Amino acid sequence: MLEAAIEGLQSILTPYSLAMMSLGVFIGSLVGFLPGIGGPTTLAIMLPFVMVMKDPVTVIALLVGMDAVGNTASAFPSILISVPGSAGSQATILDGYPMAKRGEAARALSASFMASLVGGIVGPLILLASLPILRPLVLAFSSPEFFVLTLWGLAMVGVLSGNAPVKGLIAGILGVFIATVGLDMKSGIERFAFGEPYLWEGISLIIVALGIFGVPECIDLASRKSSIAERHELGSGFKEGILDVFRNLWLTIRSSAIGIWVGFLPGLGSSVADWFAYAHTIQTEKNTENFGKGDVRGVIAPEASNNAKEAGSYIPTLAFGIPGGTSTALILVAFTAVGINPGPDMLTTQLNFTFAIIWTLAIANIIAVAFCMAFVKPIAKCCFLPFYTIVPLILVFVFIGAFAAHFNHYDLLALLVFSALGFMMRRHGWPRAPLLLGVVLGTKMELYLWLSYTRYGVEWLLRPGVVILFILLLASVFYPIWQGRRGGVSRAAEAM
Amino acid sequence: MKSRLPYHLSASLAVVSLALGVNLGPTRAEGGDPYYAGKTVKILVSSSPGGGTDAAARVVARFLPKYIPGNPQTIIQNMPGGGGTIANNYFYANAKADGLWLFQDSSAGLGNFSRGGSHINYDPRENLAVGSITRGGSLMMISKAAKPRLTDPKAKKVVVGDSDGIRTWVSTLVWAAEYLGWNVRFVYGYPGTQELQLALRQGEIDVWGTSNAKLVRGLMKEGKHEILFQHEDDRRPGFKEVPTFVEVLGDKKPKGASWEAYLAWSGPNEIDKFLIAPRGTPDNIMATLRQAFVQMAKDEEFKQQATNFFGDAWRTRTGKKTQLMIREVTTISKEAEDFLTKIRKKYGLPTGEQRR
Repeated sequence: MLEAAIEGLQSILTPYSLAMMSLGVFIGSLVGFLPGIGGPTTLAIMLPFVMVMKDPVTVIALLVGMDAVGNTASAFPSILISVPGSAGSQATILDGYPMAKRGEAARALSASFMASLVGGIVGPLILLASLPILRPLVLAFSSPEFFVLTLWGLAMVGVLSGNAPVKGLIAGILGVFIATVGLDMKSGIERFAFGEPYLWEGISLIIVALGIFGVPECIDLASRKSSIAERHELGSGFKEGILDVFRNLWLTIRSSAIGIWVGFLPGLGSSVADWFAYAHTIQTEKNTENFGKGDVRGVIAPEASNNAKEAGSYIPTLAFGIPGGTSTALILVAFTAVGINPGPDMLTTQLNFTFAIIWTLAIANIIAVAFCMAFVKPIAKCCFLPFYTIVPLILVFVFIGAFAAHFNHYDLLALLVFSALGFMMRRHGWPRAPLLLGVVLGTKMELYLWLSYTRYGVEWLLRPGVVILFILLLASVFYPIWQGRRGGVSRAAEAM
Repeated sequence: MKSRLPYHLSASLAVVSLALGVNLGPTRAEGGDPYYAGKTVKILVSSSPGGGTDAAARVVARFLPKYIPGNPQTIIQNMPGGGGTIANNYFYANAKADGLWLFQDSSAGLGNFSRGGSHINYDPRENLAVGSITRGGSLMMISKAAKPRLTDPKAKKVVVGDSDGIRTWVSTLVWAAEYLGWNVRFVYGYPGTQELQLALRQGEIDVWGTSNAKLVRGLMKEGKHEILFQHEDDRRPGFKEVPTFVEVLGDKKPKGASWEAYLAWSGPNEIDKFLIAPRGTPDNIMATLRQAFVQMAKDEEFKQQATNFFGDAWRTRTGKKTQLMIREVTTISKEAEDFLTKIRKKYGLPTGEQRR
């Protein structure tokens, strides 16, 4: 194994491989910075180019490098303008944007990137450590366990609803309802689509996120006639943010582990890891009264988890050739085209490629964080721009992001609808995060409930994994209440 | 939330593939640039990224433009769901007949049409085939632990897993249950090939079929599964030791409406992955596309890449041949259609109300 590890490292450290990795990191960072254009879309764009390449290591350096860092630069828009740069950095908004408003954008950004670095290093390390047990690890989760995990995710509505639990619950249900719109994936039967082809595909998560978070904040800025930041100084925030990660190192590592866990479960999705980590933070940390108002731990947790998740999503790919997500599905296509055989061979005859992937995941994160850190100070200054400059800029950003996802003008209409909904929710004190969570988890809940019931009947409830997960779920919901910390949590999340 | 999310196993992605390589066909039409010069061809795919249909689309997207005069760019858009129904309905309703819309579908879309239902708003017989890639008949894999239960009616039923209950190979197990008394039940709803592979390995399902020889060999290496039979008239190269389903049926093979219904459901398997243009696409454009497909099939690099994805038993069919086969497998008598509905209901598979 040591030989393969050295061989993998040597192949990645050639000037050409490093150059391709840097190119991948640059593209991945740029894409993360721009809302709407997700990592999978960019990978799909790259596929025709890489399918003609002859050297598998080059393909690994370019694509894995690009994929590894997609959630790093996405913290820029999430923190600075309340617009998620990628599906994996939605929860970052909850505390990142309030920090930017408080004049701590540089601190939030540097904390985010340092957390991303830790997540990006811890992820591959855990992947490395889990190589011998990859296969049983992946096989331990079947449809019933996945269903309970989605339920667990939805239970976070309580955490995210603040002092308006009923409103939060209704918002969560509305999110699940939105997720049902379109043609049923099993049968192709139309649900709430009213014969409109645009709705057949369902409503895009990115449109919902841009609408309910991005535009309402613009309206708020315009109505306040101020800049995003209340204080016009960067101060020592940059260094503070880095130190924040080390002050909360245990939280960062826990969040990275959550990211890995979500990543290796093929079926939970890339947009869940940050929410799980955020909820875990609120449920386990002390002094939670500032969550939702700009607590740096609310930035560190999701950012560590969404970078670690990328390494996790390679676990099923390496173990069975089964992609952990859309990005890894596309990377798998490229691997196959250049002669890499994802699956058991990756743990035997092609172990050097496996190590090349692991090394790339780690090195790409270091390059990306160095790259992003260099831009923190200049980019964070956008928080000081007057509203008449920044609001049109954000709106252009949001609308381009919405349109770039599918190049469909109906997306712009949908964006307006969700913007109006987000504005009304914000104005009347309805928490918006539960709605987004409902949209994220709705389809998966339905799918895994269906599979659990049709496969196991009611017996699925008695599976050991299900029982254990249910106990953990209940503990995670009731433990904070039992500790009498519910009040703090409630106040924490009310802002979002 | 469905196909538009980045991870939801139902992503809708755009791929801009620049036409690479040299143009081997005529580069200029008489009196000006060729029709496709500077244009972009959109290829809609009826599955999520990563599966066989998607792989076929991506290989075609890379090599077909090389042989189309004008070397157009290609865009791939994945639209999974409903065994291809979502993409089929969308393509039938929205595709423009200008040669710039193509659709990479699979046999499931034809099976869905034969099954019928109010949500089937397309007619594959009207579309125009550019060509098809077939990987050979499906290979039915069963967990070795579950195999003894197959013929024991008192045992727990063997679980057959599928995405939508309409895949052509599912027909074989329905007929095996009906005529050989096999002890099976069907669970459908898995989003795609990846999830089904995982479910088979986890033991959540016991039987699953795929045409992908490479994938099957990978599973065989693990030693926990074996091939039950293959779904083809003749034994596939490389799988000569595996009996065909007709051989397994032996003298229990039914006749009349039952067999016609079976052929209507299972027949599209032979077509496998096919590329089509919408009805009304001008003849000259169809001729160009079909010619390009034939030339592509002879490209050595294309052959190598197709082998990387599908194993060694794949082959291509011309557009005209594919067109004829689509018509053949989607033509079914009322009696057979009634039989199909009845037998699908009996085994708990989704049935639509009939088209006629």
